[in-house]
Amino acid sequence: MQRNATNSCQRIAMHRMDYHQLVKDCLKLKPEAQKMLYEHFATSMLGVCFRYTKSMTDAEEVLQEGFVKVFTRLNQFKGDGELGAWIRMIMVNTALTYLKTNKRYRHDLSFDEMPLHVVSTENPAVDLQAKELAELIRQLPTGFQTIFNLHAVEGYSHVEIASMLGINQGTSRSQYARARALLIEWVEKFSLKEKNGHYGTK
Amino acid sequence: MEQNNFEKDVRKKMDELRIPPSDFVWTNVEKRISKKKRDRRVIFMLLFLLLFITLGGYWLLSSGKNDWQQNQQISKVVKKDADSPVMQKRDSSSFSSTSNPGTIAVKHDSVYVTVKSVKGDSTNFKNDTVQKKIIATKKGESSSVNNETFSSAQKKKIDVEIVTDVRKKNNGDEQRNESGHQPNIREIQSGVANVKIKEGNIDSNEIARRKIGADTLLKKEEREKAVAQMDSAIKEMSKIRQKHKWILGFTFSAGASMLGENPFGIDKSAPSFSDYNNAVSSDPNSGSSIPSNSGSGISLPSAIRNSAAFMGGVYVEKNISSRNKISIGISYQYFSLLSKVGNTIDSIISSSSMSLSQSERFYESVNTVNTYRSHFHYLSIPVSIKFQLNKSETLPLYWQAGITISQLIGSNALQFKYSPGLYYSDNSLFHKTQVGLQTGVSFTLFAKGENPFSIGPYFSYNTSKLAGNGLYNHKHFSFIGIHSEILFRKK
Repeated sequence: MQRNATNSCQRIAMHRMDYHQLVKDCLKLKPEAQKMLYEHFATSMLGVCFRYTKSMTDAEEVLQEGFVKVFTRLNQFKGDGELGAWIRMIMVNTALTYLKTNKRYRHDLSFDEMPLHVVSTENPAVDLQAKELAELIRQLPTGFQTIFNLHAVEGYSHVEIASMLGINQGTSRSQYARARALLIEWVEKFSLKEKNGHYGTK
Repeated sequence: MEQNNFEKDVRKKMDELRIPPSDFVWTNVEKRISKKKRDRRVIFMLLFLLLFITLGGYWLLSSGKNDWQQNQQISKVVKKDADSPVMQKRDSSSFSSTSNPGTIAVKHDSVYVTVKSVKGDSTNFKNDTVQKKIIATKKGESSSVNNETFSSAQKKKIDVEIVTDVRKKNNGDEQRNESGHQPNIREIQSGVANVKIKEGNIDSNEIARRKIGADTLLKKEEREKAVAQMDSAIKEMSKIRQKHKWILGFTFSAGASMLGENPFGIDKSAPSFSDYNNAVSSDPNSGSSIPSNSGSGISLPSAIRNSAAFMGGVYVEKNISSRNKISIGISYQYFSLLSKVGNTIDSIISSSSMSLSQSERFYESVNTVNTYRSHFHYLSIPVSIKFQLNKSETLPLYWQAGITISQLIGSNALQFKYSPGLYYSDNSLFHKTQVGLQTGVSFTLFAKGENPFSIGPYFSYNTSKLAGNGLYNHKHFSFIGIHSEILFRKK
């Protein structure tokens, strides 16, 4: 058991050291290192971008923009945290900027003042595949989708979200509550449909 | 606590989400990061160039200004001294004035000293030098003693040389004319020798005062003549001063606009999938990704071709030295590009994810039989410096370089949406403010007349990207053509 823990620690240390070297090489503008870094994080980061946008085209556009920022700002990475988390933060910020500046999303992202909504206490089990759940999140209206992603997935507080989006804390809470309720409803419907579908085939 | 289980589940599922991106994402990222490297180099070079131009301009301006002030000071002092009562008291029997315009001269029967403040040529302002001529004569018989042109750094040394030369040359005269003229020569020698030169700055007042103080008195009429000459010298100076004023002019250029990722707009081929990140065969409504380059259901935009462009405006120009000028103006720029589009679509069913409904016009991308001209209207402020390359006064050749800041005031350019294969207009994608560099050479005809006319080849390149997104993503505008200018100079 102790040996396993040691191995795990060594692996993590090795992993960090590799990242450290990779970042160093990227800072030296070595194309192989840049490609390696991209390949290592691209799939997971596209997942992040996918959740914030409405189409794959837009998600890839955000991914591209995000990686350009990653490579140009890599010197700002201190190395004290996880490289993945740092890149993810850049992707989220890039996605938010994209939503704010892009004509297609800008209008949908305007939040009207809404009364506070009580957060639903429903707590259904999520039996969906990651992609299916992401698709459902993307079906939410842009405002709901953004706030849900920021709070439920990224873990930002409503105070932080309010400052990021330039809205009231109450609006953020209200939108989140509505988004959550809507998503739970869809998850349940989708799960039921899936089950029925399975039974039907049987 | 129970409530958080849903969030935890969602977070866990989302962390598992992995979607492989299309190949062209990396191609575009790679292209852009390598471009940033190049851009950085270009920016450094531009900054260096700008610094060089600024320092050069400052140096030219300051040196021209100093000489102007210095010469004006000399003329004022000389005029003042000529009018002073001391001058009137002086014995005028042995003096006469020269008739050279712009020359302040006091002549003795054996020696006369001339301080030439302005070069005889009225078109040129003599920079950084004060020409000092000392001629020794023996009873009206002139012989050149020294004719020196000196800069501020050499002033002290040269003055000493002048004095020595005067002494050498006049030694013979002095001996020959011991009885009659010795005191005057000594007076002149001491007058010149006592000219105090401050380090790095000629004491112009002292030169003028000593020069006059060293001589004997003027005749009244000769004094008046001298004053008249002073006036003409001052007029000459004011003419020169006028040459350093801002002069209004008009400019017009005609040529071709070019669009590309480099200054010469070479990459004007039809856009490909790898060029545009929109070229993913995904339906924006469903959001499902089917990345492929097969082109099924995907249309590509037609090639964008270069077309006519022109610019015109007003500007003001000022001489910063005898051969260099600075100009600033305001002008209107028109660029156009051609592309092939299909038929006009009156309305489309707007989907939730594709808010194209704000566009007024739509065009098909199939059956591209119609030629569409995209117009770009800019209002710009060009600032440039002109350097005269030859020495000709009748047909000067100038090289000009400068920067232009322009603002997009209107455009009907079309954007392209790959998935439905539609052209639509969306000016919000354009970068409204553009910074450009310009250069050109031009010959000036009728350079000495009231309306000098310059014409020559001209090239400008907008260093700012035309758009950060869409069909014109990362493209830059260039212009190549013939540039003409006409000035309206007051006589």
